[in-house]
Amino acid sequence: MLIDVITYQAENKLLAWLEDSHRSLSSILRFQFGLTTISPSESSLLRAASSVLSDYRATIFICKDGDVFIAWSGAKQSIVDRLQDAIYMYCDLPPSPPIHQYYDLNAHGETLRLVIREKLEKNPPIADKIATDSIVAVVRAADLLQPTPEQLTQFAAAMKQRPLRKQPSILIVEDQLFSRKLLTGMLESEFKVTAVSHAETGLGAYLSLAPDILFLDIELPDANGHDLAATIRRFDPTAFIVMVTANQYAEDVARARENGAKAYIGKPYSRQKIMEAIHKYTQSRPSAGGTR
Amino acid sequence: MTQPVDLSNLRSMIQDDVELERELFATFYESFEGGLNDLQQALQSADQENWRRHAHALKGIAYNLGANRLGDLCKTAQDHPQASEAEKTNLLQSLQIEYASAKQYLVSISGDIG
Repeated sequence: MLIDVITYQAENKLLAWLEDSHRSLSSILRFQFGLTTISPSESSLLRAASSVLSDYRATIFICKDGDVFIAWSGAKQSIVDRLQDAIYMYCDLPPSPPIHQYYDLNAHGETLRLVIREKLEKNPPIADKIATDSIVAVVRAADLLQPTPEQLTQFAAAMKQRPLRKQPSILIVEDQLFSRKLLTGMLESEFKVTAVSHAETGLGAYLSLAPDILFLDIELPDANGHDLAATIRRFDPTAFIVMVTANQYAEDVARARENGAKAYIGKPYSRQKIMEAIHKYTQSRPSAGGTR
Repeated sequence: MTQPVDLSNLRSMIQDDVELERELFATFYESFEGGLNDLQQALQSADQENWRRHAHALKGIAYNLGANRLGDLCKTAQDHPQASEAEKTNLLQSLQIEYASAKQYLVSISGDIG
């Protein structure tokens, strides 16, 4: 499973997504949060989508006016119903839920394009990443990486599933789409994989899913991967964290070790290095016959 | 002269999944072109940290693809955020030329329009 969450230039990126000729069998579910006072968090949207779209590649587009579009390849009505229920549950919606529409891209592609273009005319999308970064920088990384009591309760429940899994659940936190797709593509045929692009979303996903293995990039847009690793280790001392990065600086390796990272993989990734890390995990699990 | 991209590691990772490979090529084009624009903006605004950060991001993409010459140029850019405007301009041009070479190669082997 690969789920992207897009907020920067979401409207333009959704239009580009629609233009891709491979999307003909795709579906989009739109929630008009923009007409309400509700602003669901990225992590709650991701949890909702993860609970339903485990066998799909999906993208969540969060528009400047608050509307959320969830897009995936596939056209089953049963998915739509389950996704609606998941959004209501995870986003803690009041009794009067936001208006939502389903678009089958094969039949409604042009209609959807008109909807997005109208949005672009009325609301210029979130400013480009460089300008927005200055706003994000005001929020200290430490504030972004504080689990809420509700999230910790959810994590405790998810941890009970860990020893019951037949194969490892893997979370990837990597901001570069190419590297994220490469790692996901390599692993998703054998393992249950969730991939996100930001530290805050990664923390939310970790608390929601209690994955067995975390592949964690160091340079992330909203926080440092080392800080995320340290945060996770505080509430999950057993976390199996593999740092991945394009750098091989000694200080990064040392800090990864201090944070209890089990492995450090530089780019380019290789199948051998990735599978060695996963093998190290399975050997360390008592249920796998290994020893801790 | 060696090809601009060595796909052996990538193909080993994805077990010769042709559809995924095609998707990764498309992502490479979009991500790298966006990244080159980001570098251009960082050059124009004399923003050393953004220059370093964007070069770092491109380096990871290039190496993971197998475009090692391109990755080496990105590494040079990343390691010299304090280079002069003229040096950065030359480096950016080299990146654009090497990227174009890599893209041309990928398009030729995949039959994509790109």
